[in-house]
Amino acid sequence: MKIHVKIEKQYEEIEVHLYANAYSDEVERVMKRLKTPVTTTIDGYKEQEIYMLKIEDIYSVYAEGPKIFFQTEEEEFESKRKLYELEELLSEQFTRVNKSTLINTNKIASIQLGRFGTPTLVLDNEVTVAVSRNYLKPLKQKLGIGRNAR
Amino acid sequence: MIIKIIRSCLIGLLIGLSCSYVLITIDAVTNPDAVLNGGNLLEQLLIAAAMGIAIGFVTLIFDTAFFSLPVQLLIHLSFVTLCVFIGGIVGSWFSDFSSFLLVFLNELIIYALVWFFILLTTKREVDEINEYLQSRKRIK
Repeated sequence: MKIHVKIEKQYEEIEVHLYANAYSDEVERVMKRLKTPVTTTIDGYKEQEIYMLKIEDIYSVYAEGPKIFFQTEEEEFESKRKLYELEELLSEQFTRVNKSTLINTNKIASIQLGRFGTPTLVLDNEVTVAVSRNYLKPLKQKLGIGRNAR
Repeated sequence: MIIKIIRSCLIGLLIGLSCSYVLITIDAVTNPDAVLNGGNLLEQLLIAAAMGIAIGFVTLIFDTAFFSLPVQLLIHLSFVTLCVFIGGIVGSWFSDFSSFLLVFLNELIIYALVWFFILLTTKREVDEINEYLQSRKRIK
């Protein structure tokens, strides 16, 4: 993808023009990304107090029954949002790895083959998270590995 | 989703037909006097195809998140065994007790081979991800 930047006084606000030979998934992704407001913090709750958590400090988001939790380096905070809402909101940095967990792709230390050949992620805080086989390919894409990488 | 189902059924069909071909060949080599006419062969082919498609469909259980992997494996193996049992009755594979045992021994060997292949594929993907993570760490 080529990016041209043109700085001229005549523009009162930023304009983005996309040029492509066809309307493709990539064009749609770029448009979606441009339209999405950049979220850097999110509200987490602990002992009836609200904390504004930096998204980059969150290692994983997981569901435990009806409750949703943010896991940071050493602490856990509850979220009032649904997992699917967070999946959409945090789609820039996070990806789903099983039915109930989203992980921050920047916090993955390694991946290992666990019992019965289940791939297991090891995060930078040494917490392990099992990856369902059907989420392995989307994880690779999210990391930019292989075909259809994002 | 439909593409996924068709793909899984087709893979099952191909594995079913390949295994059937290998097993019939082994049977023909070990029992040179056995006679298999066109009708029998067609019957075995149809049984293998039906079993392959059914097993291919049930293999999608591994792509769902309903059960843990050991439970998925148990359900899948039970279904495959049931398919082999039904296939054995329809295709007259059980002439005596030893043939009954041999059929299920074959099933276990094929099942282990397919599982080993899946394990190798997953390991390759895991290695690929680790390689990327290592290079990312070096850049950081």
